[in-house]
Amino acid sequence: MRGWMALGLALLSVTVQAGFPEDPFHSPMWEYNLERYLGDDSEVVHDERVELQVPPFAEDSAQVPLTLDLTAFPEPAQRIVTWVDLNPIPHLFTYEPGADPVRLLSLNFRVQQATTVRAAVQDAEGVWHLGSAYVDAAGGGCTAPSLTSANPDWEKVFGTVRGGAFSRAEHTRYKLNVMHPMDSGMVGNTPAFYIEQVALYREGDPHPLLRLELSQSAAENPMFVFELEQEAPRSRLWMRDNNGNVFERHLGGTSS
Amino acid sequence: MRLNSIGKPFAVSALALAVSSGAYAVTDEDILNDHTTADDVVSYGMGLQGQRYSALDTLNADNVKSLQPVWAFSFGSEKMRGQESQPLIKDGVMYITASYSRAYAIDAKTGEEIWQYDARLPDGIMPCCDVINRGGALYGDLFFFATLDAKLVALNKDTGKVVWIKPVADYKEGYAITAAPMIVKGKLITGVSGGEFGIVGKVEAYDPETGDKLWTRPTVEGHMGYVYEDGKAIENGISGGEAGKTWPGDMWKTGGAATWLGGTYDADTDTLFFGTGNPAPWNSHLRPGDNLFSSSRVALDPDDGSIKWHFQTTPNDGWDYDGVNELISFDYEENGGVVKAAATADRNGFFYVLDRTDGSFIRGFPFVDEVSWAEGLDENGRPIYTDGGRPGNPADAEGEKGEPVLARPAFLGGKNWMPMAYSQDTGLFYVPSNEWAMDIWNEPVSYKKGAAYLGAGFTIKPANEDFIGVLRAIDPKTGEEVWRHENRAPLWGGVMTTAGNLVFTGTPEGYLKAFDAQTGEELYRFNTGSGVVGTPITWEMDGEQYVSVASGWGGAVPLWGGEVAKVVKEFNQGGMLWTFKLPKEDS
Repeated sequence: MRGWMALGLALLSVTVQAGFPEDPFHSPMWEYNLERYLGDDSEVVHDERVELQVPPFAEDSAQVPLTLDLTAFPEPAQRIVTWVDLNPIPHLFTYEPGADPVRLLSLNFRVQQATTVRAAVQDAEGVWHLGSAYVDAAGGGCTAPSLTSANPDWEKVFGTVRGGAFSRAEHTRYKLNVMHPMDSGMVGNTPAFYIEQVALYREGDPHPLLRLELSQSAAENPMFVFELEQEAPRSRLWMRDNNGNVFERHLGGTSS
Repeated sequence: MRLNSIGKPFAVSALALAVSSGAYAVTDEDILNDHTTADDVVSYGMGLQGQRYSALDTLNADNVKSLQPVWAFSFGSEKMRGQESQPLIKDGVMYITASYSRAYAIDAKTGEEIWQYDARLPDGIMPCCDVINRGGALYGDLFFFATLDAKLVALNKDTGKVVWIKPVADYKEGYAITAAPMIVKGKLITGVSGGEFGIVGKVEAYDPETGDKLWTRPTVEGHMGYVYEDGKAIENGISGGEAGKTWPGDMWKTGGAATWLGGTYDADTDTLFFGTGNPAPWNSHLRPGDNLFSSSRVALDPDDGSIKWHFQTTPNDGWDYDGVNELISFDYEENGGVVKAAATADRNGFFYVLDRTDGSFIRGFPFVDEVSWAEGLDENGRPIYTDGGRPGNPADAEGEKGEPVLARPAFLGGKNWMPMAYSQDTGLFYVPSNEWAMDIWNEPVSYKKGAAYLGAGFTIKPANEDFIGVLRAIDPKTGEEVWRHENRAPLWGGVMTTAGNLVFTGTPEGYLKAFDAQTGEELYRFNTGSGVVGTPITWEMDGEQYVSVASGWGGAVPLWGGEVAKVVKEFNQGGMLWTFKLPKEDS
């Protein structure tokens, strides 16, 4: 009985394995992370319209800019998952949309060593469209002490949010920076302490315009950029860290 | 691939388990009956009255010598020092806090961690007396504890995820919280620390579900209490009626009286009992008067925080006697009637028995070998001060420093924070106490926000060559010391007693010890590897009786102990949780 079950599962996983395309970067974590973050029965295709931009070399392994440009992607993303293949905790963020489609997302992250970075965008059929990029790095970004930890007065600026909403021709650009150590928990004597949840709300609307779930790969004092296809509404940014601290910032209508 | 696929069904069943364990919510009834149920410990004090008595007798004076560790758990990281916590246990899961504001859920059968929560503390926290925490509270599906930056945290007891976090006070003013909060009548109740920084002590109640504040009661005369309805603060009377009755000038505004040890609750009289700490500053010449409600026991109405009565042990405290010690409710028979009493062993060296219905004084007596600062207590329990027993006024001296005095006990107290236990079988209190003295002198000082506010200098010295700690069995009806057990290092851990004729406590030398409750004979010792300054618990699981205690040297003694360092300087830090039971007969 036991043998049958094991055989059945093995057969199933073989068929699933056949479902993933080859990785042009030949990352050792390719299938493992696809299964972990998208599920082992997911349908995955490479797609150049998922434009993932990272610098060729990370000058600062603790602050690497990532931009996901979906201007060329023909339909609204149902869900987006990004990860950094060779980081100790690869997951970077998961995005869930509101009513207005996202055109562009940007967030700085940490790299522990030279690695491929992935962005998976799910379409309405449930298919995952993958964009990949490679960043070379000296490394160590996840296990180096944060700048915050060197500053005994860090709590004075902790949680300060700067930025606002800016109108563009056919969309609104939100650019926000929050002072937070985003400790990965991998530095001795410093517990994991990072923003887990980010949400953007239209004023008076309980349904978010977008939601992000972050992991420890996100960089210290993170800078978020979102571009949504909409008129700039009066809105509110809400964030909560794993210690339960909540940060909010009201954003003006057309500028701030 | 294969591993991953096979892992799936496991993940599903683990989820099902987590959901079903979530069904075991902790109720008001569980908490009210905590002292009578053997299979859980859901309150600090093993019952809200704080008697720390268990009716379990599977483990007893005859077989305790066979007690063996079943597992040990490390709190991890380099934050080893100062483990003063008491574990809680519910449905096979142990919940415990550790130093630096950490909390853990642990499988009580195996010692494996279920979750861990590490508060990220600001660098500017000001714990006067080490980075310790004394425990948490359970209610519904939440676990609560308080942090060194004076916040209350509610965690999902099954996942460890934060449900809410609320600041109780501003740590930059010197506030901290180290005591275990408690649940009384569906409210989460906490005190605050910070008496060395001129804060204003208070007791507050919160809604456990939301973290909304329900009432606040300052413990310094002159400050307004409030109840909160729909987010609005409604005045509920000034503590003590008005300002200035027992304090000169503006001194009440920074009067201390921190409620830093938490409280107990007596359902019989529906009363919360909180001890209050030293008045600020330590230099008593700057604040002539009784300085209410410092160094007192205050009885509060749990519904709105109103003060029912108070009993002050050290009026105009000039020695940091900081009488915050726990008040334990107990009944005894006398002249054919039942006396509803409560007892407390104060830092100042006196043991008090009060009528818990109105706070009136029944009797009091020294429980340490020598008290220098008072000749005794009058018929109302007020101390009769010794002439020249108070450190001199710097204003009367040449230079800055007032005349020093040798005072006994030292400010670390005849008994400090470590809770005593009351046995319903022997009718005795088991008091962890210390024999030490101090040189203390006063200096001028003025208040500055967030700075130490003492106006005193001091050095502690052992009173005897060969021992400082004394575990005492004290008869609250007669004041008799029925037995004593001397310990070389100061005792700094809590006590528990059981129907098995046992008394348990730990020592800074590292031992968990068990004594015969009637005779004081030492029956058992186990070296946990670091000083035991936590408080043991006992419970029953699968028909077997377990004992758990945290180990990890630290607390106020190594920081403030002066010449006591001679005795304790070789003790190493730890950071472990130990669990014991009798070996099971192989069937």
